[in-house]
Amino acid sequence: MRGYYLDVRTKITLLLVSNLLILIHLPLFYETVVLVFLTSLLVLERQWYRMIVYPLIFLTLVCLESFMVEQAVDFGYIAMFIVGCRRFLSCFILSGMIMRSSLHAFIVTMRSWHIPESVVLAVAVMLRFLPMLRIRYREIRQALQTRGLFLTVWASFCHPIAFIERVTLPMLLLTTQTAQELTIASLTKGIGKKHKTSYQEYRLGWLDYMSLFVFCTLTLVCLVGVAND
Amino acid sequence: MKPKIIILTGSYTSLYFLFLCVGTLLSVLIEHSPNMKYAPAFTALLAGSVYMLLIAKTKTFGALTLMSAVLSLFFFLSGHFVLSVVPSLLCGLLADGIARLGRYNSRIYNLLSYIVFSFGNLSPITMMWVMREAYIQQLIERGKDAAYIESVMVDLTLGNVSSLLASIVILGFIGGGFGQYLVGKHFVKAGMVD
Repeated sequence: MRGYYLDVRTKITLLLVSNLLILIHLPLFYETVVLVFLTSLLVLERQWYRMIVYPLIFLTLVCLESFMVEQAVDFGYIAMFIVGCRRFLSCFILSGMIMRSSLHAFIVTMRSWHIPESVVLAVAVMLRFLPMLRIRYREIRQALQTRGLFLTVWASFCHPIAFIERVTLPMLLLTTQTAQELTIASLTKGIGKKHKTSYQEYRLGWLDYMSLFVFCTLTLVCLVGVAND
Repeated sequence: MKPKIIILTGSYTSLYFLFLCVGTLLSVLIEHSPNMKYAPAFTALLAGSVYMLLIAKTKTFGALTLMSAVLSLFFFLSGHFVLSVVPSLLCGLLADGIARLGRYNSRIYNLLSYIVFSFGNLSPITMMWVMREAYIQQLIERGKDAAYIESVMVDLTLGNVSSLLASIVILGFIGGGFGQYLVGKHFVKAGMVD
């Protein structure tokens, strides 16, 4: 059985609403309710690993924070970081869901929201290039090691300027070259045309509406609850 | 904007993003602190060549703004605070304007533009401000007094902020200069840019 995938528009709207929740100081109970709801969305998308990991992270952060504050252990920024991470966990869950959506769905969504075409195109190119950079970096490191340069990590720390120059330049050259090829391919596919069509249509389903309704109601309840407290 | 420029900007933005990640990692390792406040400065030190090559290749108003817009969008979608989008975008627009003043050929204007652009990387640090408030609130909820909170938190004093800004300016100047040197030495000589 395939999982139900929420629409990218739903995920981005949920992310915006969860940003609103960060601005108010939610008590732990409300934070837990929000986490349970977001975990249930992960169940819908059948992301079992993340469904287990996020609540575990939440629990660990709560325990650590409780230990530090209760025991008055002075960790300053580390404690602050732990509390902050817990607050931002809802955003991280939703951003993970957005990043795992298909690139095509993301582009069509951005177009349907009338985001400038240049931004849509640049984001698509960036998302295409990011995984490639790791492969390129490994290739460059291997080439340098073949020439007997920077055989260890320590060697690159000893000569940082030379290392940056010898890694950055091939990266820049390869990126420029790939960008040129991509431009030619894109122009051939009619990227410059103003009217865009999509074979696949993305529509909001009942689960999208349901998720939005539940999360917005939950946010309102949190806001009212915090105001009454 | 032409598709060629947009694709070039997108691809260089991915490289810039990579340097941003390396800069953040360096900041955490060197400072031994998770606050990442010197991440923009280290990024400014590393990413100069990408920025200068983008200017040299495009020489069009909008490329730098687009780069900042894509980075801002990426910050937001990767779970950063929504308000972190605004300063980044503004710095990109301002940097584009400064580089345009020198018609994208002036070394000084380009360097100045790079430093202004690097200030935009401060915006994800706004998350730390939000975290700070959240942590203080948490301490109050736990019944801690003001003296304890004062002892735990590091304040945003004038000294802290000015050292942060000065580090961006100095490292941005070095990184931008190094970037111009690299572009001049390798790309201009090879005839890849004017």
